[in-house]
Amino acid sequence: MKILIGLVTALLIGWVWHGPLGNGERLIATLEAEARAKVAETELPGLRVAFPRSPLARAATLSGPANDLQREGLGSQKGVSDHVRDVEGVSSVRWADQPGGRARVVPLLLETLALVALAYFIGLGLGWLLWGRRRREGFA
Amino acid sequence: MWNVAQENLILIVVALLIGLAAALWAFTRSGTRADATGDDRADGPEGNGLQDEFAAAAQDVAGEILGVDAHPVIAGPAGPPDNLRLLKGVGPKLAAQLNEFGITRFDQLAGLTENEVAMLDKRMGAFEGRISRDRLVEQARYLERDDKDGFEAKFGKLGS
Repeated sequence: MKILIGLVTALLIGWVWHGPLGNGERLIATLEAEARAKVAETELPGLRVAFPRSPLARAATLSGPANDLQREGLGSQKGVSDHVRDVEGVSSVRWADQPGGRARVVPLLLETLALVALAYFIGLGLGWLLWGRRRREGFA
Repeated sequence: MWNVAQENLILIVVALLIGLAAALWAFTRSGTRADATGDDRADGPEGNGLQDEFAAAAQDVAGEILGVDAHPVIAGPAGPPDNLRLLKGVGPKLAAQLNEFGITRFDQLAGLTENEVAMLDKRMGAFEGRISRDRLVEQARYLERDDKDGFEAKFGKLGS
């Protein structure tokens, strides 16, 4: 029960950090700005890049006029998708007019809470090593 | 994912610390004592407040002046005596010393509060501090409930 209370507390703090404190939105805004700069470097007019806001996710969606060569490149020549994919933190890149419907994206909140849970259990494990191991009582 | 971790480093450290705090809460003796012994009895009526402490002190002083034990620590036994030597660390002399204080049963030992243990420990002469050092109260709580398995898991094999 105590362990569960701790986990819920950690997850709650994670949610507050991500949502109300705006850290999730800030991360996506940063990624979007970097991705836009990369797209601008290609000097292809009319191209846009966006990241989903509801829910927030690190999946970039490109739109605008570009042929297959411009989109995906050829050999060592990078396409727009590759440039956006190179932005550190972007999890996936797709084109808005790409067939196959909406892509499944992992919400950033889910990733954040997974990290929080992982960190919590690592802390718990360390704590168990420090205080939880059964000690022999010295009455042999 | 690594990028998310980097951006949320403070949050991750906080979660780690919460995990450590939860472990401290869940695994240390103060956190699990009641669970481990199945006993959550509160401290006794004495010494829980300033008024009680003054009353106890006044009783002690009166007892000293009159030359009697006006402030007995131990309630009388509620049945036939137990073999106190089953407790780890208790030999014939220590058992006799406990008997002198009127302790003949496990339930009497098990019912001692921390204040009472401290008071008794000071009066134990050659065995001063042994009640708390040998964790006799905790041992007695198992034997009072006849929980031999629990006792042996915690303190080792029960003697005869």
